[in-house]
Amino acid sequence: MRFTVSTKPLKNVTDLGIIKANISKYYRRSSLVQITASRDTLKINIEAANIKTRMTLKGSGDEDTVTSIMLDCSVFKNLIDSIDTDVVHLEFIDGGLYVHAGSAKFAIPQILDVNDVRLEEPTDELMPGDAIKLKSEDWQFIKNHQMYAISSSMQHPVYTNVWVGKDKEVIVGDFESSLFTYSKRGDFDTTCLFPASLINLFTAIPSGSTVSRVGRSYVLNINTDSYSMITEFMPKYEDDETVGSYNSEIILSMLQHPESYITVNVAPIIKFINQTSILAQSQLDKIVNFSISDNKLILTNKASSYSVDVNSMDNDSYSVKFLTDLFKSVLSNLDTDKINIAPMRRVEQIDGTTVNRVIGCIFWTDDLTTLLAGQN
Amino acid sequence: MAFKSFGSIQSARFNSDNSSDFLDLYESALDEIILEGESRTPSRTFAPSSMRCKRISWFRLRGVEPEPETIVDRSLNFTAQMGTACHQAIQEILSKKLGADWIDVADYLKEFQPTYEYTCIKNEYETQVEITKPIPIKFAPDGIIFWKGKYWLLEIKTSEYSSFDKLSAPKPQHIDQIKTYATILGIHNVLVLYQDRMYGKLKCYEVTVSDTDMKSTWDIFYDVQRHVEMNIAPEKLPSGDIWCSPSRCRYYNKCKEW
Repeated sequence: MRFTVSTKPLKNVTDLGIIKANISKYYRRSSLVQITASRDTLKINIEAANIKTRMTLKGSGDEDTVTSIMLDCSVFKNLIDSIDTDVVHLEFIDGGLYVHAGSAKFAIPQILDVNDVRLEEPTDELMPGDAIKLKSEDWQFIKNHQMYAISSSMQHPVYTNVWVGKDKEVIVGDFESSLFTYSKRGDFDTTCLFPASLINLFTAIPSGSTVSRVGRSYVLNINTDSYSMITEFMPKYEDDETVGSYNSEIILSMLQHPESYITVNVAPIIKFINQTSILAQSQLDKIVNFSISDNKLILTNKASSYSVDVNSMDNDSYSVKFLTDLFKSVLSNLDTDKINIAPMRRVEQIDGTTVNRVIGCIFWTDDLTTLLAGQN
Repeated sequence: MAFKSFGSIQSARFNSDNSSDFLDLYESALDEIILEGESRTPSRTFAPSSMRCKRISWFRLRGVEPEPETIVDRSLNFTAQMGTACHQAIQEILSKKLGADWIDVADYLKEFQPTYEYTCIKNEYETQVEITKPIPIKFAPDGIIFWKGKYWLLEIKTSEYSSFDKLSAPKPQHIDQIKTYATILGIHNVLVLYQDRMYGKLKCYEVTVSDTDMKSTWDIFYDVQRHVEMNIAPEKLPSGDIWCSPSRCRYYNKCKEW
């Protein structure tokens, strides 16, 4: 069987479907791609942990038979990415696939016999009435402004995921550094958790793509003129055995905007932080003291200081120490130049006295709220 | 510093609430008509006016919806209406002057005996010809005349004055369309009559379509059809071609997928 297909759509689907982050040594099928050709259709199946994908392209085969082959997905994707001819001819042979591009010919050996192993198909049980239109621009916002905060620590693995609430809430954070970001850009109708690789996929989808819930899974449906793709993915849920609670209720309650706050221009503060890093020599320099006093915002560390007039609503006065890098990340990832800042307080008993201690700050814009705890 | 006098505001489009409301009433009715026309899916046929780009024909033959117009272009619509009116005026004068030598397209095709299957629908001076096999195409030639002992294909084009004034030969973007009409009708001699839409001035150029031109036009038809059957996109216009832009092509973004 020799199948001819336009190169660009083939590149587009392999880019969209074969995501490097999904390939894992713990899930061996994630390194495979199953390619099936018939008279007029090329079907590409891939599989990753909790993700099953089928991509379909139109083209032209020279036989009425159906032929399949199993290849290494990275090899296949990288080769297709490198081709610059308008069309590619895929020649299915015993033990491999020849890829013809212009006057070049490449042989990719099969990894497994498709008679022994087949990748799983995504479900076809779609309920179009329940489909939600997924907006890639919302997920791009989450990627650009929130994903920096995702945890990489396996001590609390639940925070290595993005928490999505059923009312569009999205929390990305890190329990270790007590940094949490929040927006209302989620599109899903249930509370669940997504790994970063799915967020990458959502940012890359063309407009008009939809998701439908099928039991505890979702089915992403992409239909363009040049290809179609169905991805069934199973998000994680807090009631899954190995996941545990994200403590979203506690986090959401801490992210409430206080009535009293200051508004500042973020650019001069980032500039100051960048300048202090030039002088940083020791661990002590990695801490910045943030204080509000006498209607002034004052930033200090061992060698530098910066102050700017602010309009503190109730003439509030407080001080909190932040890790400089985290503080800079928070400010850099907010989505507007002017931001609001308010103290985050916790009622504590110290020597029998009730104290309303400032333990961090809340930073927010119209679309994004970030919480960062201070250092003791 | 001085106030600008009211009389100098040449561009005021209305002078009262009523005149403003009336303008809105008319323009909204016009916009509805324009949008309705633009939202129609093109028929799955070749369009001679789009023969410059194989991909437009390929998208049309596959029934792909063009990208929706986001802006209602009243000027373009007016230009098209003016063009139609100019065509009709010229066709009326020529048909009266030439009498029996203003050839009915259906009669011509009966005599020409083409190998393709076709139907004709006559509409005043123009006849829409629809061919279904071997290639699907719909077109309406501006006229066929018998003059100086041979058949001529008449192609009327209208143009805004500045472009018309500079004209010294048929515009390159019209040649593919002219060749397409000539090929299908089997007429080698073409008169291209240009009229400026401002003052009604005229220019006329003769174009001869050779057998080689006709063969290459048929080759384009068959090549696009082969690409449709194979589900493979044909080649696009060369990079930098002015017709390959979002304002001139309603398949611009879809084309980028291929």
